[in-house]
Amino acid sequence: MKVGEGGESRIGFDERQLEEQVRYLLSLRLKTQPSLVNGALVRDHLDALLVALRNGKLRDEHEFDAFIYDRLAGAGYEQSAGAGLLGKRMLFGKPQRAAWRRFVDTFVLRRGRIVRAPGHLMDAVAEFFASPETYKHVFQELIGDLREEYSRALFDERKWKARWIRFAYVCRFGASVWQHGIGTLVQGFVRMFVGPPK
Amino acid sequence: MSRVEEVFPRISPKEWLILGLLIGGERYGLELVELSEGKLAKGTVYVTLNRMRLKGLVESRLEELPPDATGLPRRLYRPTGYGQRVTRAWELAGAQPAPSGVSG
Repeated sequence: MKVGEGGESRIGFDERQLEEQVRYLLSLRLKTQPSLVNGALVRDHLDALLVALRNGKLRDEHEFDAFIYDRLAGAGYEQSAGAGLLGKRMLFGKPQRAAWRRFVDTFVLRRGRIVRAPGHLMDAVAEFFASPETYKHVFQELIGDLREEYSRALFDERKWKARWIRFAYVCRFGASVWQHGIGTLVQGFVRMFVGPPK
Repeated sequence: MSRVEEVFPRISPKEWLILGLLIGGERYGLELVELSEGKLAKGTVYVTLNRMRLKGLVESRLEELPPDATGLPRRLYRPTGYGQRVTRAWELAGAQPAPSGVSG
């Protein structure tokens, strides 16, 4: 059965059951924002994946796996990835590959490699260095926008655009840090020499 | 120094633009960037909004999502009563043109 026709897919899992399971996992810790893609409400990579599945946009199980790995790792499941992903692999019913093939897949073709959601490093840096208020109002919003645009690009099968978006948002993150830092510095000088604001 | 300047804080052109866009209704950051037609940058709009929030010009709330939805909701911004008074005062003082969406 072709992916996207509903029910059991061609890679041997119940789509609805998988959706529920992954949704539960992702509900634990997810930092993404909703967006509208081609008239469908797409809240994150998972939704982009499910919409893509339904529309037959994903071509093979490697792409599917990459999405799931990305989602689980992005949701902070890297530590428990062993059991979780093993379980998912069994659920996928994917045949085991030879060791050399797994090596090539992982390190050369980068298929099935555990990757984190875009902006995870910026998120960690901002959460560590910025005040909770600044993190919440500035950086979390910026990273949310990155993930929204990234999901849109992936959904449209524009991988290079998605990569470009990741790069562009690193620059934007830098601009935010610079502007916030300069602003804080100027405010500090104003307070020091002019006095507190009225 | 004018009387308005003694009472109300100065508003930068970007803040003025954001206030004008927000008068049309609640909006989120990316929407503001898109509506500004290139005058606001994606990288810095949240810093400006945060500064405006600290000045008391705007307030924000998280968008309500359906119960089964995943992910963080967007943050929607709107001008505070104080923000609207400041905008009006500067507009009347003639120091700033009326922001788009402001009538009278």
